[in-house]
Amino acid sequence: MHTIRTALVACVAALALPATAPAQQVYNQISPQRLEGILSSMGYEYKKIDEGKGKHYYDLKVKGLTLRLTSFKGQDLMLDVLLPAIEWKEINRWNGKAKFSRARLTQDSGGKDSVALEYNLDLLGGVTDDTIKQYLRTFENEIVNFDKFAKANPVAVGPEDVYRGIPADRLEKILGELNIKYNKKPIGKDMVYTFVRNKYEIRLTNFNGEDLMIDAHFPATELTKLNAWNLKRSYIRAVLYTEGTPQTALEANLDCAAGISDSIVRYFITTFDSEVRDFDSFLKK
Amino acid sequence: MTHQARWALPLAGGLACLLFAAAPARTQQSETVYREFKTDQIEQILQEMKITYQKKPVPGLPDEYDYFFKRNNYNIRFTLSKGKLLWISANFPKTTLEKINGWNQRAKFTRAVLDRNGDKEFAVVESQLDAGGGATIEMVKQMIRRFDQDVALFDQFLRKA
Repeated sequence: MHTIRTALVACVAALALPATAPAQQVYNQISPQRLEGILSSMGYEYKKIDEGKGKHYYDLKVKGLTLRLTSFKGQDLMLDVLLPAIEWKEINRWNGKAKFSRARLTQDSGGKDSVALEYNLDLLGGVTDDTIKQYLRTFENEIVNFDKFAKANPVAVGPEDVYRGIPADRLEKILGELNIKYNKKPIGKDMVYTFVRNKYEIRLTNFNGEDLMIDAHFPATELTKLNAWNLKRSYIRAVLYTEGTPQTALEANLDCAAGISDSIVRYFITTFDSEVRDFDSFLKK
Repeated sequence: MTHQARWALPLAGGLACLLFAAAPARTQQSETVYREFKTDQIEQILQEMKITYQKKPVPGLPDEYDYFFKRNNYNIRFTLSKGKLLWISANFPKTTLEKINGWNQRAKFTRAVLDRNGDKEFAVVESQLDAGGGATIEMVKQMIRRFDQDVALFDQFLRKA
């Protein structure tokens, strides 16, 4: 009876304790062997370069990029990667909002302007293997986030891949990158994509890969009001359609025939958001 | 523009073929994309297109320039506003808002507006390019070439009853 009671008390006590991870060794310096063990356990393939004086580089291949992990005598680590350059003002904005990484302008080995994205870890306060693993995972997330940020803020002057025309698969890739969930319907040689952005129904038409039109529909409005809108705004067109149920359309077109880059198409789609919102407010006045 | 009401295509299509004939479809190449244009770039484009222009700063608006020139007997105005808005336009006599809207129903790369300068009202056909989103030199040239077609079509459209 006494044994059973003791066992029961022990079980209750164990259940009442907060859940804890298995105890890990805390250390303030990591040997190359231990670091390489962590990299291997996480599936990283790496090339090691011994710089001497306790400094080691590990070049990690991740999703087509080369990440460099530098160990400074095992006491602090740095991860960095070279990415395409963006404007220094945007780099400053990234540095103002990013939690873990920092970006700076540099040049790659070929002298081409690039952004170095970096993230440091100080081991001297004590870390575990899980700390190192999380450090690596977080940096991979930072790269993904920086890529999204860079695409939204492209460089003012720079070479980009420019295509004559916009085939469906390319447009759909861009829509996917913008997280736009669309329905599509072919009309002859044209493809019509419909989706909802900020609660507005948007239609994007690809006219045989040669040009794009984006539009949104509103209740019919008097022509004087539409003309007033067209006079004060740029790049778009407010039109009254009277075939069938009269309605007002807000439209914008993009000529792709002379060549278009992905960033131009992205901008065309995303800037329509504010046009639609402002037009809706204007109509309600 | 409605999908059905593309009445201008037969005429524009023939002209378009001339414009696109030399351009290979769907090819990729690396080109410089600008997000701001300087006046010397615009002037070089106009010179390459053999356009003789008169340049004037827009009164009261810093960093805004108008380029006036004649194309196919039409008086054209090309405006560079703060390096980012490229705007090409042509003025016509006043018309009705119904006619203005009628053009806008059919148009693709232009729009028509009824504008006013003091007591005088007039119709304008115009096209705008937002360089802030990125534009190549070729896109600017294409904008000017397309406008050649549209200004003539707009003129014909206004003359119809």
